[in-house]
Order: sequence, then C-alpha cells, then structure tokens
Amino acid sequence: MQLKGHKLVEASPAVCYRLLTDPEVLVRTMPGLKRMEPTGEGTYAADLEMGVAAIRGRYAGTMAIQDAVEGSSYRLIMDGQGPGGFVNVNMLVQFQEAEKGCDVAYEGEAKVGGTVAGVGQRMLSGVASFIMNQFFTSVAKEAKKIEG
Amino acid sequence: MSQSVYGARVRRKEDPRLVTGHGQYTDDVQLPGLLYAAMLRSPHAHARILSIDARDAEAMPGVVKVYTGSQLKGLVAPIPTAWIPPESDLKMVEHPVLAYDRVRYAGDGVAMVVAESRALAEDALDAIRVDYEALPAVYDQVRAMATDAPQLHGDAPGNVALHWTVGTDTDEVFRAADVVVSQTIRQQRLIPNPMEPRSAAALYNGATGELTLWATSQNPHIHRVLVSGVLGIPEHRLRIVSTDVGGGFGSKIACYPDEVLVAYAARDLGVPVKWTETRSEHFTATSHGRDHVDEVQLAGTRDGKVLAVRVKAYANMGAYLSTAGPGVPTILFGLIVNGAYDIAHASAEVYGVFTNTTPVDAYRGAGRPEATFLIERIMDRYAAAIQMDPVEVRRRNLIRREQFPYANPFGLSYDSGDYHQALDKALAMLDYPAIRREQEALRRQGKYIGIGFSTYVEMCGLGPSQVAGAVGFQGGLWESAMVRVHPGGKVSVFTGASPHGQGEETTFAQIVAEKLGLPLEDIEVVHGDTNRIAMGWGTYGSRTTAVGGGALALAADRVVAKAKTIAAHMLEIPEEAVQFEEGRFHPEGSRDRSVSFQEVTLQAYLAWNLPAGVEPGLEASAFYDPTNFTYPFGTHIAVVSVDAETGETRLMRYIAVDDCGPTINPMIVEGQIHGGIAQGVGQALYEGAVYDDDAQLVTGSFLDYAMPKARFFPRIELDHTVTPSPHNPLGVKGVGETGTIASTPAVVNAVMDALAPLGVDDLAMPFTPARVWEAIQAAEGRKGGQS
Repeated sequence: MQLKGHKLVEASPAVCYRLLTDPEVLVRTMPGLKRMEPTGEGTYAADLEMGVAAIRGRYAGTMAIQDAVEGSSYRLIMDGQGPGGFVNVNMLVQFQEAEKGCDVAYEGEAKVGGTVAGVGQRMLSGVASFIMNQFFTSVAKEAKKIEG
Repeated sequence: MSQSVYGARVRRKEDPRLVTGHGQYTDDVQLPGLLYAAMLRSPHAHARILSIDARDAEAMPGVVKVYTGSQLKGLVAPIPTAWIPPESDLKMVEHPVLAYDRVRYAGDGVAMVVAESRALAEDALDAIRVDYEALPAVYDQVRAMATDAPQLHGDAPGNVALHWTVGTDTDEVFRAADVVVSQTIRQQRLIPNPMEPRSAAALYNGATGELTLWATSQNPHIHRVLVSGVLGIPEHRLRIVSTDVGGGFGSKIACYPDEVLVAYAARDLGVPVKWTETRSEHFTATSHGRDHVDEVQLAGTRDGKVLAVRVKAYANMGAYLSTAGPGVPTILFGLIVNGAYDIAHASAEVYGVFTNTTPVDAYRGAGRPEATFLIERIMDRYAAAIQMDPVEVRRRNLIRREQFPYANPFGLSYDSGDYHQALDKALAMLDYPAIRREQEALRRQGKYIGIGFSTYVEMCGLGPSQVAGAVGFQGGLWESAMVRVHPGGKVSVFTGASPHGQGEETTFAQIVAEKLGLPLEDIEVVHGDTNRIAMGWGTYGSRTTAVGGGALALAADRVVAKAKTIAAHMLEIPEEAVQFEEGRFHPEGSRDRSVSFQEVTLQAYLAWNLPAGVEPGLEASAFYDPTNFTYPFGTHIAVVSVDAETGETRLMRYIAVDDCGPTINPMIVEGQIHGGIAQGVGQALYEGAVYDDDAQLVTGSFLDYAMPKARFFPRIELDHTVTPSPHNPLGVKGVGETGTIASTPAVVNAVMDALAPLGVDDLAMPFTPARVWEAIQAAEGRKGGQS
C-alpha cells in the first residue's frame, strides 16, 4: 500500500523537524501511539494501538529514524506485530520551507500481513490518510504553542 | 398404505432438528473439563521461523500448554495426500502439522495454545513472540514456474508439484484443420464458505486408549484412516463423529492439521479439547477451489464439426498438497475436456504448481466446472469464428442418443442420455427465436442483453473402486449400507456415505420406505459415526445417492428377501408364491390371508417358529461397488442484461433442464440445482480470491469476498428429462454439482453475447461492474483509434 501526502504546518522546518523526531511529542500527537522509548541511536521500541475494521489490538514493534538530515528529511522505518498480523512502514519524510510555514511531505510504502491484510486492506489507505491528517493537525497545534 | 413416498416431494426429516437449534454440530460438543485450543497462524506468506518464544503465553492464567512445530516434529507424522495420480511425478512434499522451520502461506499454523476458555486461548496467542525472517513469496502459478521464482520445497524443483498428460495425439488434426480457435482463460480462485466453519473436539480415554474425535468431515472414515496414520492410533480405538455438518462443498474433505492437533493435545493432556475456527481463519486456513490458468484450443471444419480439442492447464495447488488436491485438476478435469460433444481427438496437459497460498482442494464440481467452462467457452468462440449460431454448433456436435454408451477420447464410457432432447426442451422454454428478435430490437435502443448456453455433461457418482485404484485415489469408492429392522418394526438405516446438508436422511428413508412398505417416520437414517457404521467413503463428487443409495437398495432387498422366507413359513405356502405389497405378505393372487411386515419382523426376533436354516433377527448389509461413474447432463440457458453505462450485469432469466435419472425427492433435487446454480453464478459474476504482491490474501472477509445473494436471482426455471443410468440399482445419476458445473459458462457466455456488439471479446471472471465497464471503455477506445 502506497502512503503519500503532505501537510502545511505553521512553523519553521527546523521546529517541525524537531517535533516530528521527539518521542514525547509523537506519543502525544500520533493517534494510537502509546509508548516510544529509545533503544539506541535513532531506534525506539514502540507500542501502538490500532483498530481497522474487525482488527483491533496493541501492536508492539520498533521504530527507527534513518538517513536523518537535520531540519530537512529523514526516513521512518516501522515494524509492528500484533494480533491481526504485521505492519511494516518505510516512509521518507521531507520538510520544505513554505510561504506560511513548512510543507511536510511523506511518501513511502506500508506492508501489511495476516488478518489485517485480509480484512479491510481495501479501506486501509483511507484509514491511513485519516490518521495522518489527525496526526498533522495535532503536530500543528504543538507547533503553534512553540511559535505562538 | 396409500401413496408411495418414493419420488414424492416429502419435506426433509432433518429440518425440524436443524432449524430449531437441535442439531449436533461439532462445536455443540460439551464435555466435563473441556479445554479450548486456538491456532497461531503465520501472517507472512513465506518466511523462515528464527525463534518462537511462548514463555509469556504459557505463564498466563488459564493457559494449559502451548505446542510448537519443533516440539511435535517426530511425534506427529506429516499430513499426507490421499490422491496420487499415476504418471504425474507427484512431489509429495512434507506438510507438518505445525510449521517448524518455514511458513509457506499466510495462515500456515505455527503454534497451538490450549487454555481453559476460548477467550484465554485467543488472548494467549498475542503473547507468543515469533521471530520471522520474511522471504520473497509468489501467489501466481505461472510466475511460480519462472526460473527466478521463490522456491517453496527443496524436493519440488521449479515449484512443480505434478505434470500429467492424457489423451490422443492432436497435432496432426490441428495442422490440417480449416479452423482453429484458441483462448487463454483464468479460472479464478474461489473460497468455499459453508455456513458452519470447521471445528474439532477430542476426548481420550487413557484407560482404554480410545480416542473420540468429533470433526467437521464430509468423510469420517477417510479421516479415521488418515488420523490413525498420522497419530499412530489404531483404527479400532479411534472413533470419528461427524453427526451434523453444516455444509462442506468439498472444503471438509481434507484432513487438516487442526483436527490432528486437537486429538494430539487431548491425548497428551488427558483432558478433552475443542477448537472452532473463526470466519477470518476460515478464509486463509480452509482449502480453496479452482485457480487455473488454461490454454484451450479447438480445431474444426467451416461447417461446424469439431475435430479436436486440447488443453494445457496450470493449476495452483497452494503451499502443500491437500487430501484430494492432486486428483482435482488431473483426473476430475483432464478426462472430460471434450464435454458433451462427440470429439474424436482430445488431449490435456496439466501442471500442478506450488505457490505461497492456501492449499487448493475440491470445491463443488471439483475439476469438472473447470473443464466444462473451457469447452463451453471455446464452443462459443468457434461458433463466432465460423459465424454460426452457438446452438447450431452445439446441436451438430452433441453426442447422439444412439451413440450410448459413448466412449470418449480418454476412455470414459458415458452411460446414457439424450442430450438433444434436453437442449430442445430448454430452447422451447426460452422461445429462442423470440428472444433473439428482442435482443436485436434492444440493441438498436442501445440496450444490451445476451443469451448464453451450456450444454454440459459431468461425471460423478464416484466409483467403482477398481477405477479409483487406477486413477491413484488412495481408497475405495464403494459404499456400505445396513438396514436393521428392530423387533417392533421400526428401522435404523446405517450409511457409510456422510451427508452434510444434502437431505439424505429423507431420500434414504424414502428408498427404504418404498422397499419395505413402511411409513417414512418409522425409518431413521444414521450416518457420520465410525463406531456405528463399519466403513464408508463419504459424500463428495455427487456420489451419495448413486453409490450409497445403491448399497441401501441392495441391503433393503436382502431384508425383504429374508422376510419373505419367514412370511412363507408363517403363511404355510411356498416362498415363490409370496407376494409383498404395501407392507403385507400374502399368497399370490389372494389377499384373504396375509401377514404384515411388523408381524414377520416380530417372528424373526422371537424365533419361536422359523423355517429350517433361517437365522433369527432381521437386518442386512450391502457393500456396493458401482460398475461405473454416472453422467448427468443437461442444457442451461442464461439471459442477462448488461448496463453499458455502469457495467452492471443483471440475470434476467435462468433456465435449467437437467437429467439426473429418476428423482427420489424432486423438492430436494430442485434445491440442489438452485444452490448449485447460485454457486456457479457466484464464480461468473461475484466471487474471487485476490492476493497482493506479497501473497497476502486481500479478500479475507465477506467485506471483500462477494457471495451471491438470493436477491441477485430471478426465479430459476427448471425442467428435466429422465434417462436412467444403467450403472446402479436406482438408475440415479447425482445432482449435487450439476448446477455449479453448468451455470458458470452459461452466464459468462450470456454476458459475452451481450457485449459482442460493443467489441468486447475477452474478459476475466468475475464479471464485476467495474471490470465490465473498463472492458467496454477499452473496446470503445480501440474502436475510436481505428476510425
């Protein structure tokens, strides 16, 4: 499944980058993300609660931030396993200066397996963009607090 | 007694029990101390298992034990296949009950939790940590044969499970023929969905060593043979019970790892264990059907005579060989690719291919729908190529009445029939000239209707055993029956066939009622229990009435013969002078003196005054092996309308004229035909399993897998012809699968007929609105480009 989108956040690219790489901010803003603890350089153990169609449950896995270019881009790698199967995400996140702040663009691929693939995969991309939208709206609020 | 119940529309005896919640399904089994099992299944289509850590799961309250593949390796034998087609070079790869080093499809079993409740068992699955190393996966059988494809089994190079050829040399005929038509056809994978999911429950008696396994099986005695072998439990200590089974359609033929695991755990723990799959689990862990890529070619003359047909098939076997899997795309498909037509030269070449998908086995029709689809589609192509009406082409090639018994190019002997009569009857119901005129008129208004034909024949009534052996089926195909008349005159009938929704508790009672002159309610049919029935081969391949009913007729005749001997003694007349009518024995030509069947029965048990040499009691068994397969046939016609704006197909009329020989219960026969047609239409218009590029099943629920609904159908117009089969005592031919076999090509031919003026000449099933609409757009694009 392809993941692609972008969102305008009213903050500088540097602030956006910082917010989107800060585990505390991510746990506050990412819907369903319950825990994110560093396990090494740019790697984290994470717990995510997800509900898609009939598949609900807690997914445990790892998150990694790779190829990080401060204030500009990084690659997000997520591997999660849960009751409905597995979810693997490999996504490039880019931050570009825009007129009213920063354009945050993401592009990548999500692979799902097991029941989560068989029950509702057709709806997953819709669900994913819904979640991303929620996420960026929360991030924008965080940014406003800082910039404001 | 008044009217005969044989041939009458008697209501099903089993229904009051089944529709009021009093059935005895496997999941209804309740036992003291019963534990529940849940299966951990691989989310990966192909992966190496690096490690499994079940410690957290085992520490959870209520969890009794967790089993993994490496623990069971060597303790439980791999699951065998039971069909080894000769000269197919079948690769009998290992199918472990739980994967221990590698998983080969999403749904492959990895661990089993046994816990005090179902909820606890399912929760514990989440606590098992499996470290997988994902491997490249392949779901498509043609791609799986490519040199760079991921390899599933070390001992099946190129993923080839089998390679099988059959028939006569056709090359010369094709070279010389005036007309050759060819088509590549994908017959998509289907997911059988009986109302009842699979289930198993097991009870072990440590003192006697006896194990009882309740299982959703179409063939409990075959399960006994296989489970006995896999677990090393001798057959006299293994009882399989499948009392009520809520439909199977082929998906409950196979011996699955799940029931073996449940039985193993019950023995290992000394406590009864039960497992029932969820519907989601069913979609990936229960066998699938069809999934062919076929190349079909037909050679003929310009005036409509078919000279030869040849088929090359790539059949997807899934990740492992299922119980009957290898026989379906070979024997049950290849031997009948000439269909109902007199074609002198025919051949089939079949590759069975391993892929990272759920194993494929029989699904209602099993091989014969695939063969019928090919010949019925290519006949239409041929008709179009020589610009002849599809009915006329069929008429010129259908086997003629005087040709029976007809030897087809593969050595099958078609039993009996009048194929033209069925065709003419169906055409008369349709009013063919009128509907063609209507079609023409509608086309001028931009409306598209189509008429599709399927003049099918199929082989069923699977038996005799000698043929079973010759085609590599690892079992017999005879059937057993016992008729036991109790002292009071009530009757228990024991059948080795194991009906599971087909209504044989009623039709079999009708057979016995007719033979013994008793009311229907005095007869009870017992099935599905290996301790009550010595041996049998189960229900599949539309064999139960032909073979099981044949056995029953013979057994009932033996009971009557013995009763007659006793009655003669009671009446003090010679046996030859005894007549048996309407439940009473009397001297020929005189009804003044008579004894009833009940009086004779009582004397048989009292044995106060039996003729010399006659043993007490009144029961008889028969082990009946038919002389040949049976060949039901008929003509199905579909009329559809296709909305060119939306691509939606609507079934306007459906006509079926079938010949299954004499009917014992027309209501049940019609029900079988209705359901069969719906299932075949499902393949044509709605159903299809879809895998993504990582071999993940995308259509894993009813949200994405469309089953046909009653409201999709018009009233189905039925009629029949009756040509008894000479191959069994009742002359019956079987009707469980005809609807499914015939309807898919009838509907597809109708849609293609509707789309012909729009320039669409090839389309893959299922014909969903989106697909039809895209095909119409593409055809219009082509037309636009040309002008």
